[in-house]
Amino acid sequence: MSHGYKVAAALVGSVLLAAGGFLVTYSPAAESSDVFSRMMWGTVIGAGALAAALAIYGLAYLGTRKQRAAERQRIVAGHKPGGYTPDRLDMRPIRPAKFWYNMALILIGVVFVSSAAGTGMTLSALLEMPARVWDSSLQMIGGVAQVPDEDARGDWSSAFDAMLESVAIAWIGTLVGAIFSLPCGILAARNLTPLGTYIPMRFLLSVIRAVPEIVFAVAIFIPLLGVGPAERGGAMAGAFALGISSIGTLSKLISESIEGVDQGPLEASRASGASHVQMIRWAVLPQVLPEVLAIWLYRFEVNIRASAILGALGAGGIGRLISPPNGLFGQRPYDWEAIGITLFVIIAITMVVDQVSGFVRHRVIHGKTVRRRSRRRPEASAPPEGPPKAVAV
Amino acid sequence: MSTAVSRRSTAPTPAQERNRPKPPTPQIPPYLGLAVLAVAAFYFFFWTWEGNAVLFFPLGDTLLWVPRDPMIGLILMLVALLVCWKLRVSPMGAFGGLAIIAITYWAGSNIHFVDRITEVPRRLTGGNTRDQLVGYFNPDWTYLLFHNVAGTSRPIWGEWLITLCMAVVATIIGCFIGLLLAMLASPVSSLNRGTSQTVKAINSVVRSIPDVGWALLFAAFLGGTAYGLGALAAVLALIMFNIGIVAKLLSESIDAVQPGPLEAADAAGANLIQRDRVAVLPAVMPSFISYSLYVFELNIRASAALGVVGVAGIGGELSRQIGRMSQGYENVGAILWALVLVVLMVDLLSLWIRRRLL
Repeated sequence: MSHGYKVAAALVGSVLLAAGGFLVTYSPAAESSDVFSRMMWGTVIGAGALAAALAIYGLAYLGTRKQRAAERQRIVAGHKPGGYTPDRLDMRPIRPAKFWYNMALILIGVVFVSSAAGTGMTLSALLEMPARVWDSSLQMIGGVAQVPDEDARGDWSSAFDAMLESVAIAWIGTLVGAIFSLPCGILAARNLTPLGTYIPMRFLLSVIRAVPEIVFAVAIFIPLLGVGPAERGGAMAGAFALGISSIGTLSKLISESIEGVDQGPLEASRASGASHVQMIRWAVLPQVLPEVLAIWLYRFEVNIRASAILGALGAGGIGRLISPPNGLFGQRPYDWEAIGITLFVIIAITMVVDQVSGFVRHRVIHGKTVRRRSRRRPEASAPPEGPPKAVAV
Repeated sequence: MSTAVSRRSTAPTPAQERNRPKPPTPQIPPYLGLAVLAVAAFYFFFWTWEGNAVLFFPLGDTLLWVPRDPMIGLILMLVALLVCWKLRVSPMGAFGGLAIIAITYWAGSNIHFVDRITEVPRRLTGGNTRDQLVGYFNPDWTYLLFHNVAGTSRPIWGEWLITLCMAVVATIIGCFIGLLLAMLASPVSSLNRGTSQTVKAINSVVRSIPDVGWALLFAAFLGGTAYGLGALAAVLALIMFNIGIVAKLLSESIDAVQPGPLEAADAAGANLIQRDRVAVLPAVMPSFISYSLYVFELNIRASAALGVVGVAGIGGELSRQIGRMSQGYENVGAILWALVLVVLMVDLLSLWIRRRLL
């Protein structure tokens, strides 16, 4: 049961990694980019610390050489006649070695140290943060809790308008995605589509999934539809970017739920002479429609959050209200009362939409009665909360 | 067999037709209520109506006028109700259809759907739209590989490294905190019911603020977006974003853990931490790894976009180039194409890891 060679290999590997990182810091790439050189220094430090830890562990392991030799001697002696060696029944089971698991964890640690060095974060700024957070939260809460005067009323109404515009963007985006995703999902389901259509469709969908929505927005829809507030087309650009980029995910989820469909109705409709379209209409759609609706609604929730980042790029919605240079966070000094009101509106409307869509999803999938029953069941039959204390004593 | 099929496929006799059961006709009062709702929605549309196109109805010697767009909405809703009645849809289903049409009308009018769509051909022929599109498809690769960020000696590819580094750091910290919070949020592994409800409520607040909002908040809290502070703000924002996602998804998969190992751990006298360690954690480990990879992909996309609000990374350069877009679109095109390539590579990497591990 010796694992000394593993320790030695890991030690050599980490020393090599540190030395390699150190050598790379002299390369022209590191001289031109300080990010790269910081990353390499991070690698050196991480791998060096790892090497030091492994060296200490290896020394300790070497120190136990006598005990291990004695143990081996004892086991060998037990095999002779009249000897006694502890067999499997006397020993606790040996924990299996997790060499690669540990190696992966250590590697993740080294990568973490090197990327943390690469970002060049100045962590000392964190020391001043709590005081500012305290001050500004007090102002934000004051802004929300005050009786609204003229200014605050304007803040409330502009926040509500922008957030409702975000909801509208997300709705239109989801609608565009939904219209395209149902046919695409059917064409990308292996049990309904021949291979010649299936493979190009899958490829197209994975291409759409790989393209981030900001690319769709900036490269295609802002030139086509305009930028800025809703009257000048920013909101439409955001809606279409969200819609096109949600086709990929939606179609994948829909095709997976179509592939998991019960085969019985399909065979029955085929046996009674239905055409392909009739089979989809009468055997597939009734089975998957609740799930498809749930997927669409889920995407609607996701799109509300995603519309914010597009707003920061010039598409409309809540992102345009908050992001600099013209938004709330672009003003100096910060208008914390308005920011607090806006955040409150964002949180409130997002949560309300989540609750409503969660309710509709549950209703669509499970129907009215199951909801009541499933609520009552865990209270009636669930085991008492927490571990039973009597067993431990 | 063919004869049997051909005999079955002939038209049914009238007697058979009569015997076939039909869905019951829905009741009239709920449908009347729905029609009233449609008219109320029409009044709402009329109230928020901003256009000026009207339709005229010559009615004898008087001339009735109605606003065009709200009227189209009303007609659509009434037609939908009629179709639902013909198809014998239950009132609840008809209400769903009505609600979808009404919300779509509201959303479409809010973002000026029809105006913008009809203007697309005009924009395509005139203005700089065509230059823009052509520029995006002829990216300037030398800019991406050899140029510096304007006014500094930092190369552009260094900005990409910062973006990747931010994503890695945020993923590792955020997934770890998210794991702890998910343990606290699920009633299966939590201390008590109150804790799990509280953590769930906090988590839904954290999740409802978008990542841009977090980035701007942290930038304000840190006092500006200087070079190092920008990266710190972005990392903190991504951490909050990741905590929300991981805690939500993972607490749902903890809810669905098999009760067998939990009961075995209880029976062997484990306390709460031991039980979570030996019975819950191994059961959710595959989904945790899978969510972590998913979150890493999201972080690459988001950290590229977060630069737009003034934090470090390639997004900052992207927004700077968008700001000076009048000088040419090739630089923006190069950044966007490279973004697609990076995201594609990260997707493939995570697909490979997922295949190996799960």
